[in-house]
Amino acid sequence: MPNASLGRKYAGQPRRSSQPLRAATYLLLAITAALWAIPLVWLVCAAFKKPGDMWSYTFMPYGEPQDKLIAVDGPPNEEPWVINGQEITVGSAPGCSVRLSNDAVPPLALRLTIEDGRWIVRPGPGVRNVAINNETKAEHKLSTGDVLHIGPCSLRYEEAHTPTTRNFSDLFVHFNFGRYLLNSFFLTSAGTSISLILSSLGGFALAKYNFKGKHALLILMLATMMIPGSVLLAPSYELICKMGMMNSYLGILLPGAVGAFGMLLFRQAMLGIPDDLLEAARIDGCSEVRIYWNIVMPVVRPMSGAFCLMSFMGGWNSFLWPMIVLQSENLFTVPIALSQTIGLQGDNLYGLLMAGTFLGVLPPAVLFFMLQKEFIAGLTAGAVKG
Amino acid sequence: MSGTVQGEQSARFSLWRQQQRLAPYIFVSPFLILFCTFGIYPIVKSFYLAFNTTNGPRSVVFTGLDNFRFLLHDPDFYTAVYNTATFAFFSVFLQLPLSLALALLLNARWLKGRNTFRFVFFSPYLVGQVFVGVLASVVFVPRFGLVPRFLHATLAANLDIKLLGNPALVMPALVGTALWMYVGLNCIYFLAALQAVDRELYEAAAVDGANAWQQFVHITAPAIKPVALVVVIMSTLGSFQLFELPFVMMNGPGPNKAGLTIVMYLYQRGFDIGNLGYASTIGWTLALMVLLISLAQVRISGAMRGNA
Repeated sequence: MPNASLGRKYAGQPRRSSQPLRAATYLLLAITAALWAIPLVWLVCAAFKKPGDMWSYTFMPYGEPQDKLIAVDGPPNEEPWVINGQEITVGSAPGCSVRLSNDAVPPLALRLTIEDGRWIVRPGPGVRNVAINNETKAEHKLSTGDVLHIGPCSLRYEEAHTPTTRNFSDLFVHFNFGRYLLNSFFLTSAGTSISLILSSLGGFALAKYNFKGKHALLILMLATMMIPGSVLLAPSYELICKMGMMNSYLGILLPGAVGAFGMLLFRQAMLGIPDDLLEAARIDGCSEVRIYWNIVMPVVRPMSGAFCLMSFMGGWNSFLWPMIVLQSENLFTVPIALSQTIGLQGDNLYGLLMAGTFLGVLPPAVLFFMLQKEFIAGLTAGAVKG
Repeated sequence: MSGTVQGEQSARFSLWRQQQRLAPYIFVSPFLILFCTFGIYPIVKSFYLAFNTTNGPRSVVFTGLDNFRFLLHDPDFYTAVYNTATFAFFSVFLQLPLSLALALLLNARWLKGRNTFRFVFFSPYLVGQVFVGVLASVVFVPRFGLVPRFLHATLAANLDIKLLGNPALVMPALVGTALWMYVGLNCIYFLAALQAVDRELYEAAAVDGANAWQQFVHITAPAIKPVALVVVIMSTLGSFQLFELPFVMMNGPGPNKAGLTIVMYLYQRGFDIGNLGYASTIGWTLALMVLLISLAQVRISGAMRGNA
């Protein structure tokens, strides 16, 4: 009896962790999770920020339009403000390091408003000695190199710190981003379908038939898997050039259609299908194509799902080879357009970049949410079994 | 009458046999044709190209071992190898313990919200290298970016720290970004292995009086060892093929070529300069290095298993 109660004591609470240990675990996990999540949260916030808010609020901008006072350092009127110099940077750029002070020092000389991402200067009430590029103006769009002479005063600007979808509309209007998204969707889904069909057909033949050269093919595929893909870059480029497939989607789809790894995964999954099942289907008058389509493919459905997911992810993010093959801008995919077209504009288009990244990340993220189980299965298929 | 019917039947029967006999060849041929064209031929051709100097795809001149001779005295290549090896070393040896630790924490039976945590750690991997590179290039902006602000707040680092502009800081920035991106993936591998361990083993060990450390050494460690080897080999292979992350983050090799990797150098030589031959030489050297390193890792793990 005492023995039994002892046994139950251990069995019932085999590794009862102490309360502090649990708290420490949660704390560690929470801190790490915060570190991991913050950049992505910031990405989403930044995609919805106005250019002027990009750096002034760490996360989502909020609140009503506010007036802010800018105190002028140094003796005014003697040292002009050079726009885009040390003091003010025009546009959405970082460097808006003008000192803000909340103590109003009237009179206000200028009203600086941010419109469309540019500072706009208007004379404020009680304006004195305001000149822009040595001209007195009622309204002036500041641009790089403008020199402001201002009287003894402080400056005021107002802006509404609210989220905006402006970055997205700019992407679609000025950068043809819809086209890039369509290109990416087309290339990725076409590539995934082609490689699904080819790999599963090939895997079926290797798993369930005996034919001449089967073992040679298997060994050849295993051997090529050892070779890093970058070895193939130069000769594939030469081949694609000779075949006249440069700057076309064929040049991306065909080389990407056949991966030894995917086919071996299918072979592995199909080896488990009992031969009797296929033989019974044959006796019932099933053709080999129907066996493949109506019996084998449904059986390996989970495997196909995982394969499609991994293939989609790989295609969606593929960069180096499409960058080599594609030359016309209207064929670009999202990653290429983002880094090579929008990223190289140089004009501090951070908001646009973040909005584009947000849109580019959305499809894989949505897929993951819908198909978490298959995703993890696909990830671990190659690794954990071995 | 009956003869023709029989003949028809046997003809149909032989057609039936025929489709059974031919099926595997028909099934495998589309794959085989494409595989030979875009998988086998380039490998052979690449080997040939490695002994040639080219100027674009059309002018190819046989130069024998010149490429390899040049490679041995090419300072840029050594820079690329040094950078890549440094990156591989640090990303493997930081990722392995961190992802294992996270997996062990996540494997606690009483933990609530395991899937949420797992998703958070894994999400940067979903973003993909190019998008992570774009994000990193913005997050690392001196003075204003998230990372300089964070480093300033926590480690009192200079707010103007140029993580992508200072040659000494490029590698830490790259390793950190890769760590952020891939820890969740490796954590999932470890977690899958940990969850495959029978819980009763721990209970039995606890009954026998084994403490947590002994349980880890004798139950957990052997169970995750194969996965650890896979993780090490895969992250080494991945690290040696690093291209997108630095290329997008710094829009090229970065200051003082501090972010030049082997594949980036291959790309520059082959596609900016147009010497596909030298690019192939670099590619085969990379393949050789990767092969030797993987073999060494398998050897070392085998030796460790022998000792245990």
